[in-house]
Amino acid sequence: MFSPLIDELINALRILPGVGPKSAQRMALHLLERDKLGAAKLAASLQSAVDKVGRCALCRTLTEQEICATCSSTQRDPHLLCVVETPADVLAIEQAGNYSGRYFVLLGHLSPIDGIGPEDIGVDVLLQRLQNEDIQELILATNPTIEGEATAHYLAEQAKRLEVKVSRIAHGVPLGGELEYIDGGTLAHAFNSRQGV
Amino acid sequence: MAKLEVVENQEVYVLHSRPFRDSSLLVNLFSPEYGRVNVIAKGARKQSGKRQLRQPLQVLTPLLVDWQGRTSLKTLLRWEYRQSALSLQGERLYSALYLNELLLKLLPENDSSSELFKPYENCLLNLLEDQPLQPILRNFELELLTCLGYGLDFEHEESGQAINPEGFYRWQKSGLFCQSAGPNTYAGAHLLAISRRDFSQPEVLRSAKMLMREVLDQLLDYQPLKTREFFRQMQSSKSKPSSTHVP
Repeated sequence: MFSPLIDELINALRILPGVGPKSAQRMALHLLERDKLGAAKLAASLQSAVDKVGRCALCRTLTEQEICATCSSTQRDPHLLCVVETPADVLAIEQAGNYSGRYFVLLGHLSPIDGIGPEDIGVDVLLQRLQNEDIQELILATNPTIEGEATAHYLAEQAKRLEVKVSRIAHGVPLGGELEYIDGGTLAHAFNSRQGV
Repeated sequence: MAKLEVVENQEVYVLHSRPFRDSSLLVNLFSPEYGRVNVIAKGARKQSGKRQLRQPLQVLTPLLVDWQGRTSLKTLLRWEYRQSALSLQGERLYSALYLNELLLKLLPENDSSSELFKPYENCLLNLLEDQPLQPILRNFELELLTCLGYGLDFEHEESGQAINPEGFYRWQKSGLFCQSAGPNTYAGAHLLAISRRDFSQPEVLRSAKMLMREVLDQLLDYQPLKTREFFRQMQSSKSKPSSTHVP
């Protein structure tokens, strides 16, 4: 219906999450009709981000530097290491704002049926760090799913062999939640890890 | 147009799920009346704005579900937990996932005559308890073969003669045993023990594992099982390697 270049743009936009044919068409037409300057800026920043952004050599999060800002910061506690599944998890913890150690991003979780094993999630890199650096506590902040738990269990076993203290983030009742609406599994967890007051 | 099939209150287990579109999941369910069913769970990955948080759809969780659909891919309408998720860890968790992979690869879709549900459930419950791992897996594999119509005759050889405890036998692709010498043979006594599901001797267990692997590999068209591969990786990354734990 459109000329080939516009069609190509519409199809390219559809790779974005949540963008179907109709939204892609709206976006493409908006960029071309109303905001060519913005479109050029978008294209340039997309290009340079794709070219330059890679993985941090230490924690594997997304960055255009060799070592990311969190890893190279002297303000952060080098004895604490928090393991998360994705770069988005790092952001979430940073926004919560009370963690001052460093991170390690697995970029996934163990998933036997999909054939994702320890090597695919960088466990070798992590174990090397545990051996070479003076890390006193490894905090496992993988998701509380079956796969996330399996990953945490596996990492805990490996880290204990290297005699590093391992902890797992708590699971329980969300703040502002009501007990009545919480599923049994979460409540059971909350009761098992209750704390004295 | 095919008739709309509506199924309510089925007790199921999730065998596997994978993300679909932005917030949905494609889920393989295992149910007692409909066998293996593929459903799409719309919005299952979204934390809904409603007050009630959605219960996550996860593997190894006993669920009660409703679904409907006209084609082989159904739409999941509702799900709730029958009990909380089974808390399996480490080796036992990987074993449970191994069972799931076997079912995913070997069980035909929408096969209503699934007598395998109870054995599967029992097997998961056994995995929760502190029983030896290998016999649980072997029992389930034997059960699976019987349900698929590949039940092995452990008492007679190809010619119809009874299996001799002193003899040595080879498994053939026809499913029958024949007397044979050389490597890859099974002692007659071991076959008889397997037939009685008596895994008290380690040698019997080892033969059973070899035999199951041979039979399942053939059924799977020699496609590798990813969970088995995974087990191997896990074992090799451990300090003390021992191949005996690979299912």
